[in-house]
Amino acid sequence: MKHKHTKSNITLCLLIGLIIANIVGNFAQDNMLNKIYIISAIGIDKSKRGYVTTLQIINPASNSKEGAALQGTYTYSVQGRTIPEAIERIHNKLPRSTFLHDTEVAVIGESLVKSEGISSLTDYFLRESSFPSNLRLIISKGVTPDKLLQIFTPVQKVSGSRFEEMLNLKQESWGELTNMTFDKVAGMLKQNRTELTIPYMTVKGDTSKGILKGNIEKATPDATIDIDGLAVFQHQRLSYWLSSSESTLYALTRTKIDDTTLVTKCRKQSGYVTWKDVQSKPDIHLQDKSGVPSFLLQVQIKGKLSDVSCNMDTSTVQAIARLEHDAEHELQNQINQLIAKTQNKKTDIDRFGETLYRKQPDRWNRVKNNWDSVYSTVPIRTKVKFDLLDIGEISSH
Amino acid sequence: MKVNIEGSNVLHNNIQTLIAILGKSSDFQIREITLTSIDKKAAVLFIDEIVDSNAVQQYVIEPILTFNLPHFKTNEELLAFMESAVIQSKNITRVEDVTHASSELLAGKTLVIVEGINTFLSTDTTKWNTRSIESPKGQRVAKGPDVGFSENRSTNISLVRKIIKNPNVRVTTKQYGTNTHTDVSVMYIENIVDKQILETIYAHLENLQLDAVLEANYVEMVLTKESKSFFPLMLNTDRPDVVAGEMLEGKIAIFVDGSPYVLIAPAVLVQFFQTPEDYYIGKTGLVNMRLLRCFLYFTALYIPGVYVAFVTYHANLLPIKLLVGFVSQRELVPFPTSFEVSILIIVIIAINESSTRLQQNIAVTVSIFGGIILGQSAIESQLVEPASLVVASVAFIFVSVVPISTMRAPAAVITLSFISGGSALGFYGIALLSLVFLLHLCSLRSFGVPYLSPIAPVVAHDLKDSVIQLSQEEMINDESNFMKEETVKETDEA
Repeated sequence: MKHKHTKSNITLCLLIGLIIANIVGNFAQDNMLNKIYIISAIGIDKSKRGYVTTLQIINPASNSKEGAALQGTYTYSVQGRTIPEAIERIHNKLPRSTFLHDTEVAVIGESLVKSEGISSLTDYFLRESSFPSNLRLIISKGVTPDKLLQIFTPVQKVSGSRFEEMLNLKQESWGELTNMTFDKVAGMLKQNRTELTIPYMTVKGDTSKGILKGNIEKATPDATIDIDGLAVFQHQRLSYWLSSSESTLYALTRTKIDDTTLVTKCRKQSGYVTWKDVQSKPDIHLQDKSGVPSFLLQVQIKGKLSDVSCNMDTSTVQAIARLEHDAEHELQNQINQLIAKTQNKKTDIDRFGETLYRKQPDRWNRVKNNWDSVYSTVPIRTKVKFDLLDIGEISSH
Repeated sequence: MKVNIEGSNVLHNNIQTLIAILGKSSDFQIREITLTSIDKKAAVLFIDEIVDSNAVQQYVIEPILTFNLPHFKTNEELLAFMESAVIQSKNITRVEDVTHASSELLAGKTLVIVEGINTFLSTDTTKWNTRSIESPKGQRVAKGPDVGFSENRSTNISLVRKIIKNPNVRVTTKQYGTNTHTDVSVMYIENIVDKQILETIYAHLENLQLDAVLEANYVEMVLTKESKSFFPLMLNTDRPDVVAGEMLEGKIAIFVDGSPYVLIAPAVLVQFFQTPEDYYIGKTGLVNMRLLRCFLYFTALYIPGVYVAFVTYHANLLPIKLLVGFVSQRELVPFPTSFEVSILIIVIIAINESSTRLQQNIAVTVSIFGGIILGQSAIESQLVEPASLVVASVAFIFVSVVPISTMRAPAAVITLSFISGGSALGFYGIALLSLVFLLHLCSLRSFGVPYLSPIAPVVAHDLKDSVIQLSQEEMINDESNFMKEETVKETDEA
């Protein structure tokens, strides 16, 4: 029968297709999962004869039930004249090819970004398509990247993933500033209006003990890795470090923040007021239309009261108004100090140049070549508006 | 092969011819009678096992023996008198052809023949032994009527008649199958049925030339033989309420004697995802079950293929934690993933098949071995990845949500071809095959009705009861009309 014939044809096609597909799949997979080392982090540092590249390889067996005691990662560091050459030399030590598509962080050594511009680095990472586009950058301060990646970290066996999670957590108080991917960095370098800031990590404690497995066999590890602040760049090179509190303050003036914690001094007494769930929205206004530009930095902050360590009644309307006013005053001072610091260092990290460019591009074009020195002299006023959202259940008692 | 043998005037000859046709079957009974009042010989013929003995005794033999027949001038008058006054059966037909008479005998009729007359009187004394009405086995529901069709066609028709008490319901019955003489009834509601589809079905049935019609599928096969598709183009159901509901939408039901499954034409894809409960359980929940069924079914088709494509070609698109998991599972497994998954799916099909077919007590053993022991040990002996097993099982479970079982066969074909596509060409292969299947579905017609309607082509009116169900009240009182495409002939004329 005719139709019976055609239906059996479908089965035959399916069977042949399945067999061919299995053969093809077999060959394809030989180059895939069975034959790769997954890289979780890459470290790059300057050496005398070029670059030291470190790859952190995930040990998949440690992920299974039986392999709980196994080491989570292995790191290999090799020198090369260029980064790809160093990676190629690492391959000499490995039985399988490296799989870079899931690399989570790139750790850049302090000495590298101090001695040479970061742009050659970003160019390499953008050109090399096997790195993911969301690969995030961190700077290692006071420690070389290979040591940083060797340190045993508790809970997360793979420190690359741990760094990623740390950055994600820090996003609450630093906003977008934690998320410095290579294409973002390259974009900022190309525009050359705002200076670069990149998060940095340091090792607290004894690094030499940290790279031993004993580090995670103690209740308090000998060495911990901290995400400490933001590294400020000037003309593609590392200029200075912002401390943790400075970074938080800077983030308030730079991007939208959804959830951070601030501490301000009590005005007349000793003690501190702690604010939680702080949201902020900065806004820069260009003040005068000609001559030397001057700026008004407005920061709108909303927060809840968390802790007051000075003796103060917080239940009255006047008290709340005073708290708000004190916080505004205090934050305004802190921000002014921070801006003065950046002006001294001639690093415009707060997008003042960007504002000028957007409002009056012609005027920006006239000053852009010596914006550094112009920036250090422009008058900048700050205005903080603080709204207390909630003083907590304490008022009802 | 059919030879018509005229009935003879000689009683003995007729009987001999019938004996020759039926081959001296032991259950063929001949009761010879003498009509004493007119002094004529007569015979009552029947097949013992399929007639109601009481009925033959009481309504045929007894009246003939006891009635004082007057003398008639012609045989015709005698015959008419016997028909009208003597035999007490509920219906009587005259049969002049001996071959036809034999088939009447085989249908459980009792024949009466009088000497000198070449015509048989065929009286209805049929009594088939059939199963009583039970719950439907094919389509169970949580809430709703619990009556299912049985193998008896007339009971089945009565069940539907009971639901639709409408003078417009029409039934036409004919026998098909040169050996089996199976009754096939076409049932529809005259004023709302699509006449064109009805004609097509009749025309196809005319061409039905089969030796045997043992089940509804024999008829379905012939009716849909023009299609090369592996998708079912007719709906199978063993629920009278479903048949009634579909008939009220203007569809045509085909009852085949001997099958508890009734065919419904035309059928569109979304119908296979509808259950009676969609209408019987008020829409109180947030979850639209029909939408969920469609979603799960189509997800199930893709899961194994996409999984194979991911681990074979697109590992860079996987989140790192998943990737590390897969790699750690793969480390010790010898076979490529595509091979693994296709073997697992075939094993699942085998387990399913054997547990449906085997005796109930052995079926339990199969499911324990297949489900528990095989799965566990396959992983422990590191023959397959746990993930592959999960993928294959999830695909099977998801496909199982489809309420009409005939829709599960295409799922296996599509799943396996997606696995081949995924393992040979990655996502590209899956996308390509999806396109092929989509085009195929678009080109399918069930008796002129596009298979994907009302979604493609869009029939806004019918969309209300397709994947998503809108107000039920509105739907019930709606008049349905199918979206039919013009036939090639019509377009040529235009």
